[in-house]
Amino acid sequence: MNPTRTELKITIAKLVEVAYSKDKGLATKIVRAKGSFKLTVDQNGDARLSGKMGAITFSGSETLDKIGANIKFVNVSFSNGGSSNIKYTAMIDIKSAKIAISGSFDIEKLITSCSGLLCRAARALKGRHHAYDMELQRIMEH
Amino acid sequence: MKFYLPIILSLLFSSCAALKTDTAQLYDAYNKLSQEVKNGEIVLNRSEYFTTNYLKEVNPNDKNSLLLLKLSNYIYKDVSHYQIFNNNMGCLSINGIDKNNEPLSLHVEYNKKNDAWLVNYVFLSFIENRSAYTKEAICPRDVEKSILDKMQ
Repeated sequence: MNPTRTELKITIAKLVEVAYSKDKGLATKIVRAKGSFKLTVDQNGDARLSGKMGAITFSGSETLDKIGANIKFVNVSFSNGGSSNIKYTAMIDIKSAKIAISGSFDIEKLITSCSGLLCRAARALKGRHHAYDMELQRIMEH
Repeated sequence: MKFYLPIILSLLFSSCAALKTDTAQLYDAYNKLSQEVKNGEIVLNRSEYFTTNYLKEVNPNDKNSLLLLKLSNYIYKDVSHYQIFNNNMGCLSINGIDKNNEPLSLHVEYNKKNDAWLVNYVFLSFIENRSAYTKEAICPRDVEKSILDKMQ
């Protein structure tokens, strides 16, 4: 089964969430700052959320492995126009092919979802968590 | 004039036929590939549809790598398509919808080898609305460059 558009959007949300869980304070500053910020995952699974307020490095392997499509690189560019609505364009590299996906989401809702019980439960399970995925889907496909 | 009219018409129709044959080549190749994917035969027959270079990343024993062979599966229904050629290279852009009725565009680079058009590079774009459909054939590497430039 090919990963769906929704699964790819959820993956982007989860990568932001992993950065947030590593350094809540700095991640909040990066995503709330007006302007652009980036999220990258390289071929070793090393991920980085960076913006003008700083950068957070973390592992993106586990998140990418879950969609199981041998994704090599992910490059996401986010744009914060000053409201909580964040626009993004993502380029996903599977070597001989690339997939682009774009959209927008409410960063406040994403942060709120990940400070709650649902997000902690999802992390504790370390696997697929249906309710958590549904919550992220609702945010990414508002 | 009556004498020349059949000749003119015949020339006109034959040139139209030649044009149709040329422009249909990549779309026909895509449809054949798409059918092979649906039939579940693409892994076995992959070398008939993809270049050796493209297949470097495909391992038949690793199901995760098989997405590369099955990108046509994302298109549930075609809406329009465009093609361009440059000697032994051609690009096909297809606008369509996925199973959830959401729009997407698939851009495929083909290389001609032994009279067969083989997929050499692909760019799949999940777009937000139908107004973003491509209105011409654009090669996948050009789509990629354009998006990367916007992301800078």
